[in-house]
Amino acid sequence: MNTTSVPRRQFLSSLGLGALALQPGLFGATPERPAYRGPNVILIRYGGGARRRESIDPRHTYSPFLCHELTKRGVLFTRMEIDQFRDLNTSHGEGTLYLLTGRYQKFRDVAESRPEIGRKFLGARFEATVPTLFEYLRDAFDVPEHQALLINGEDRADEEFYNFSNHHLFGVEYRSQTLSLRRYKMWLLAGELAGDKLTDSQRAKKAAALAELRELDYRADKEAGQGREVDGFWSRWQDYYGRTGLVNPRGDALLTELTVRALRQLRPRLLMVNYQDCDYVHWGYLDHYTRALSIMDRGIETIVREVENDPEYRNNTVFVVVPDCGRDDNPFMAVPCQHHFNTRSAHEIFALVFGRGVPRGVTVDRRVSQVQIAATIGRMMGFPTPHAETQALEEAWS
Amino acid sequence: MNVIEPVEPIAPAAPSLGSVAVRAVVGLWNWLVAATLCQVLVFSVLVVGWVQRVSRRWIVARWWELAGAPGADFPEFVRGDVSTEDLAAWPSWILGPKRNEPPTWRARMRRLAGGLWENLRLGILSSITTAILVLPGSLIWAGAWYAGWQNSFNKGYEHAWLGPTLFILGIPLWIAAMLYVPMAQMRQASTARWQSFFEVRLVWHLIQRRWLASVGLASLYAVLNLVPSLTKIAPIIGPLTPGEVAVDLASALSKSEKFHWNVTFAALIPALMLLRRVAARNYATAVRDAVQAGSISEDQLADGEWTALQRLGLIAVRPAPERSRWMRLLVWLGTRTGQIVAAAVTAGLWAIVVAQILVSEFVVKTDMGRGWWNQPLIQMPWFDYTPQRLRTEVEQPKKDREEPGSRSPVEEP
Repeated sequence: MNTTSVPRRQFLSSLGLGALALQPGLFGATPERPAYRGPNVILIRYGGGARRRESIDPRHTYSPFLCHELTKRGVLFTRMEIDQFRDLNTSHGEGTLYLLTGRYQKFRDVAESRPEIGRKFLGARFEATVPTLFEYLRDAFDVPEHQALLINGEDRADEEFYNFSNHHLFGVEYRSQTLSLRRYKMWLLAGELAGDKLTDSQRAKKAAALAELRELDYRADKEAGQGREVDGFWSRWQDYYGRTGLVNPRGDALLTELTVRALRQLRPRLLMVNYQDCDYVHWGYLDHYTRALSIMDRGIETIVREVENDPEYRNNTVFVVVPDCGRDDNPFMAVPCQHHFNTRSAHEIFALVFGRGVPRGVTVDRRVSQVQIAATIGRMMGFPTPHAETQALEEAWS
Repeated sequence: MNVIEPVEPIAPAAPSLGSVAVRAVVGLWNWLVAATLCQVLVFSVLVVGWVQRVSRRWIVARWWELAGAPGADFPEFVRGDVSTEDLAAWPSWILGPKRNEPPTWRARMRRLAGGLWENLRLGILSSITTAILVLPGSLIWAGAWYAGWQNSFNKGYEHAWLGPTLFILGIPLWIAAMLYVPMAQMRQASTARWQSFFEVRLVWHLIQRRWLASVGLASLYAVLNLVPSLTKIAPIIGPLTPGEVAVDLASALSKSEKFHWNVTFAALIPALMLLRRVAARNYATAVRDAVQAGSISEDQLADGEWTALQRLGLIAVRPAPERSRWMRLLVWLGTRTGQIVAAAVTAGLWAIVVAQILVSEFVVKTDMGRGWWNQPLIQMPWFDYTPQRLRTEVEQPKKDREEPGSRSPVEEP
């Protein structure tokens, strides 16, 4: 039988129900959302993959600011875990979505459900089926998309599309914006193509490059445009760092810089930073892991100082630092934490919560779960997380 | 050269039960010693030398077979000339071969430790000659891998090409070396001279004569190299389930060392011996064919080789039958095309070995990157991938007790 594939949203629109289906208030006008007045939350993915030993163990830490300074300012959950009883992957994409959705799921690359987009080796092109924290926030409050931000690196491009789920009541309309080098390149290319300075062959090359970058967006509901505020952000970025990509900070330091500038210019209410460079240890050099921890530690310090220096953020921000996954502790390997092959140690992580309303200097050593982060942030920010599967971490507020 | 009469064929006597038992015990002893020596880099050189001596025995034995196995048996044949008399028995690890010579101080020393000396001498020389050809490619891999990922970590976009380009350049270099090395190793084994390894024209001529055998040998390497490759990545399987309990480091060390010894004994040594035996037979056949075709001269043979071939009556030139001009052209074309195809297939098979090295070294990084620069079945059969870190962690508490303050201030996780 010859059938024509019609995207779900287009199908609903054609029935005249699309507009209704996109909104949570079925058969009613969009409810007026209140302005958000709660604390700002900065969720730092302490990734990609970090063990407790080199993070929060004072004898072995490579993150001295986190371990010696920040733990005094908040609540440290030393025994957070990724569920060990279900068949779950302990990897970066999965861990990020566990944090964002509050639910453990066995994620599959989208090519399994949509073969037409093609396979990708080691692809982590996942789609959450339940809402992310960004969607909950923007559903509950009048928060524009550029104030719910995901900051992503260039090595794990798949993860910059975790900013909305495909839940039928939420989705792309409730997305966060993403800041990444890919988005900057797209902005640059789009600007060049809109001008009239290119020759035909240059234009063709630029159009192809832009199409290639757009191709990375694997979502069925693709994002359209970055919005006026983010366009302005990139314009200022270009003014300062130029167009080459050779002037701005690189690696995880770039994420720190994007975060600091976003705090100043976009004033996000909920912001997630996807640090990732620890994962370089896969290639076999332990110092990449330990140096990445140090770089991330300095990044966190910079962000914390930035918040402390900003009157609107100071005393009105909560930080949540949590790894996406742990790493192996394999005595039989020269580099014991080269991988995170679903071992016990790869399930063992931690969480540090500090900032407004969070008790200081508390260590919680009961077992808690990574998916409790979503409910905890929801409770702090004042929105429900009905699709998250567990309760909040009660110790995180006074 | 002297004129040596060929050996007359004599029906061989059936081996007695006792001699079979003795051979089995000696074989098992050799096997056990080889497996144990392979656990330490320095001692693995002795295994290289010992295998070279065994290979020489296999080469002469192959000639003996090709000549129709004349004489009562092989040991009797080789005892018939001073240049081959040491091949009557398998080489010893320590003792030198028994010789009918006056009991001087030197002779006694040769008998007491001549085997050890020969294993060491030949092992060092063979390790060096093989390394000269194999190391450039593999060191480029090790360097390119390190530099490439170091650059990638630091996001050195400006030099992003360097690591991958160097790595890719190392691949043809290594494969080109491996087209040559197995035959050259046998040439060195047969002559017991390191210079023979670099007789490029002669060795390459022998390879060209035996392209199909080279394909077979490379196939065997591609299969048997799975032994070290899979052993390397074995630590990622096993005790590391989510329910894993804390591992006692001392027992982990013991487990790792036992595992490597067991694999060496059960798989690596048999694989090594099989590969060298096939290579030795290939070399012997190639030399016989080349001598009889007149494409290598008697002067190019080492004295021991010439003597053995002469005694076996294999040295005579047997010209190929005259063919028509068209037939000669067809054969030439076939041979040329066949050689190119066989060379390409052989290179492809060595590329499979490269892929194994790459994947295994990615999955489990070895100490000092030795997974890149030492292939146990080709170079030194050093086969203990137990991490040094584990040994240090087990031994450090003892050191701390004995020498307080000995711990390095820079501690790795």
